[in-house]
Amino acid sequence: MFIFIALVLALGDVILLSFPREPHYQGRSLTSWLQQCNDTSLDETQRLSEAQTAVRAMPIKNVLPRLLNLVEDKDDPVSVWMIDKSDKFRVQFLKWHSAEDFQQLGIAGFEVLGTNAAPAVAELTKLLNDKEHAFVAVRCLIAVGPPAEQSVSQALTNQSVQVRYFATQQFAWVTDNDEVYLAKMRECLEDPDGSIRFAAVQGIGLQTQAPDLAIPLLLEALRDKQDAVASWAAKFLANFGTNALRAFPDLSNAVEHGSPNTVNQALKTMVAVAPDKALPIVFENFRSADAHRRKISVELLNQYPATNLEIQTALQQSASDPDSALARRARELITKQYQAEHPIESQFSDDPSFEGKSLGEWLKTHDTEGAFSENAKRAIQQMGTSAIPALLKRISYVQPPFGLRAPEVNLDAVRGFITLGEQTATVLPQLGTLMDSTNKDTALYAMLATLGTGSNAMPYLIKGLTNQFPDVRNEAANTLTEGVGDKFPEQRKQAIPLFIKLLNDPDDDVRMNATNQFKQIDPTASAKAGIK
Amino acid sequence: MKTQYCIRHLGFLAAIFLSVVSASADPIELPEKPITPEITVLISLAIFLEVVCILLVLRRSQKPRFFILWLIGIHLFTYPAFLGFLWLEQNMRPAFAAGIGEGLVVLVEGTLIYLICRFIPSAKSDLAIPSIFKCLLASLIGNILSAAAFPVLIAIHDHFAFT
Repeated sequence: MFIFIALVLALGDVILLSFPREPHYQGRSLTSWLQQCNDTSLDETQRLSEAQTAVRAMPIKNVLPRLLNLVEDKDDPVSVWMIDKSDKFRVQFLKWHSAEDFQQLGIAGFEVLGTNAAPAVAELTKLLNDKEHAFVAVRCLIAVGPPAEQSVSQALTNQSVQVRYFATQQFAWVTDNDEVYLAKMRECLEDPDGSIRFAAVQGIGLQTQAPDLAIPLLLEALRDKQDAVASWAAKFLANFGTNALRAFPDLSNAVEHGSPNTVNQALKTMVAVAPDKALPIVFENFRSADAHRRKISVELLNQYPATNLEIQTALQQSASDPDSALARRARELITKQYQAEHPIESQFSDDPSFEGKSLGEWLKTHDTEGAFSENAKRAIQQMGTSAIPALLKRISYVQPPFGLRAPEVNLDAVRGFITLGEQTATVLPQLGTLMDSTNKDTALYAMLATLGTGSNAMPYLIKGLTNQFPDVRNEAANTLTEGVGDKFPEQRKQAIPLFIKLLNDPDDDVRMNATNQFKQIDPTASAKAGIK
Repeated sequence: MKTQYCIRHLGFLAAIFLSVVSASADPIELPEKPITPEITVLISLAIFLEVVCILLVLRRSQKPRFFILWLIGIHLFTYPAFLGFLWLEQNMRPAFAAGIGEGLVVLVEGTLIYLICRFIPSAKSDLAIPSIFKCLLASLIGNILSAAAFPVLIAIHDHFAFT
């Protein structure tokens, strides 16, 4: 009887042992090494290289069948159920693999082996006809490289869009021949799916070493009915430099009849390839009734040398364009030009200096948090009251010629005033007047500039609570609650009636902020005011 | 003397079963947290159903006293062994690993039931000792029932847990 039982169990043992055994290296199975390859990020070079070496060290004749086995894996309902339930019940010691996980390991294996996996190409090619495995197969074939050129070429016409897209996008990895590559991409440009034509254009656009073959294809793509394809074709033509001069008539045609993105890119490419020849076309578009075309033209006109009077006049005109976004952009561009011609230092030429550095230079030495070094603090404090006129000028500074915001310069002044500390007290009345400015930034930064004066700043912060700008009222409430105000609770009590008024402020943010801060400052008074 | 002989053979059988375990060893992370109480209850219920089924199949056979406790005791060995097997075979498809594991469990449990009925003194000596085939059949039916009941129990649990 025991012999019978032993036989039954031995039979089970034999069944188990007869499963295809995985190759091992240093006591670990191939799957385990593949898992390491798959889980390791590219920057963990040592760990990755260890796993890759292990996979390559195993006999290829044993590795390839296992990799194919992994790639061909399929999900079954029982396994899917088991994986789902193991996750749900947090059975953490069982780390099951879904078919997708196994396929991923297979792909990792082919990526490690590269051209050494060439003997598996025939099997992988067969999988291209299997809907469930075609995408995994094409990924593996791309990993194999040039030996899989024919198979990947076959995948370019696969019934699955996902497979065709991936094959088109990655085809350059399996062929070194420009002619073959571009011939295949030409076929892809005729694909009924736009995403594949888009991938083909991206591939063609990078072939700048073969302009005679690539440019005609890009011109073909420029006529594509899909805006994304045509616009990228126009964009890539710019990479071909003067070789793309022959594309000028087609680009001009695209500017005339193309859709918005194509017009944009075609004009940009024309300016990049032949700026002088393109200028009349840019002007023509500048005079267009279409705001989009005018906007593109303004951006392009700005790229021309600032010495061209006609261009400068056009830019000045566009600063008062009826389209507000375009007018704003034009003002920004003109301001940028102005700042390039008149560096900020030249606008503050009467700055005091200390140890050979001007105030402006010292103010720029702050770190990313806005804090000055001990040296810079000492320099600013040494300049003392002589720095005040320059700091006041900076507080209310706006960028000429259109008076655009200059928050960086304003903030430099705020830091300067705070560093001066008590010395700022002499200009507090002036800062108070600036708080009534019609410019929001000036009002806000003038209030912040008082913060270095300790308790002297309190009246100005309280005044800020009734400022015409919500941002100033908000900042005043914040600073009274958590900043300077926290150090002078007695003086802060004077602000309580104003806080109560802020509870009915027309601005939502101010109301919400004031409610929270009032609760924090005086829970009893806030409860009386009906705040829960 | 007879008992010693029996234990020696049990050791031999365990060695045959466990040889598969050592052959498939792979360095895999150790478990971090215990299985949640909910699943423990569901597994216990499934095992209980299996035990009841085996008792029914072997009701006309000679069995030792407290046979139900012996059957539960068997599971204290076979269930951890089953989980250990699944743990070692995580690189297999889950359904395949569970299928083989269950098959081995049927064989081991059937054999142990036979040994228990054969060698542990019985309360009613007038009944026949069950054959090894009957024990394997009882184990097979019991395990099929428990494997089939487990998803149903989980579905019931899910129903109550999410409503």
